Amino acid sequence: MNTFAALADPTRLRIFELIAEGEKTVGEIVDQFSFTPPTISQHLKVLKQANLVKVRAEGQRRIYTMDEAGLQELEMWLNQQRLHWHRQLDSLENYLNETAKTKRSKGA
Amino acid sequence: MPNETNDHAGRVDIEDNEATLTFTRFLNHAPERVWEALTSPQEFSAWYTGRSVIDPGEGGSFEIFTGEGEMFHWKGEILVWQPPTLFEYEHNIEPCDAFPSGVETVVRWALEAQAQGTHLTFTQTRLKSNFGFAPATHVFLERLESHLDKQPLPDFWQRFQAVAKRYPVWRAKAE
Repeated sequence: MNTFAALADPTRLRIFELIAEGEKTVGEIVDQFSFTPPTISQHLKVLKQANLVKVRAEGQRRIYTMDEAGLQELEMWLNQQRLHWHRQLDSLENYLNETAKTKRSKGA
Repeated sequence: MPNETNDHAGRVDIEDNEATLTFTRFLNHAPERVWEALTSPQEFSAWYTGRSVIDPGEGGSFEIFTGEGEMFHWKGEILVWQPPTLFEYEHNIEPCDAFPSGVETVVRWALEAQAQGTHLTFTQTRLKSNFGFAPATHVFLERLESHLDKQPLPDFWQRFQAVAKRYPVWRAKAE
């Protein structure tokens, strides 16, 4: 999944957290990380492709904000995993009930 | 196959608080062909990682838009226009978010005809830092070579990371 790959890099995760705290200009991101301009550019590109951030221009400035689309994708993925987990719990419950019944019938 | 001799690192010379990058490469194509790849916007965008806008001729202008969301806008006057041997221009960025003090440099592409192709000398002078410039240039030259040879282009970012460690990090002292 694109979103996880984007956040797997510790630096990108920090850049994303920084933007999640509140919108940031490229300059504000550069100030936080002593990276080369191509590096900052690349990290923002990956976050944008994963729909985790979006950019808008205000005159000469480019302002990065969090993108709900990527977060929703993360949430959907989590819900999917929860669903699988609940299904497994249901199966376990059924299995235990069945076993209990069998034992009872055998014991009778 | 890329020419093996083309893998050597560019030179970073520091003098009077300014850095100069020098790269020499051998390309398997005539200077006319290389000149076209540098100066035609259509070709340029095929091997660079951005697009160019050119008003050709001395006193004309050369602009490059690159980076995520075109965050880097290079612009400057064409200082020398001698097809197909010499192309020199100001390679500047006005103060912006990514470069608060701006960047003012001069780039020169010198193409010398040789028996089997072109000897290229790329120089970039007046740099106030080597913050990514040398490795980026290294990779751009690899991509130019692949483009000319009609080979798949190396991924900019992967190669940038791989070659970055071969270049010193340097910043001019505050004046």
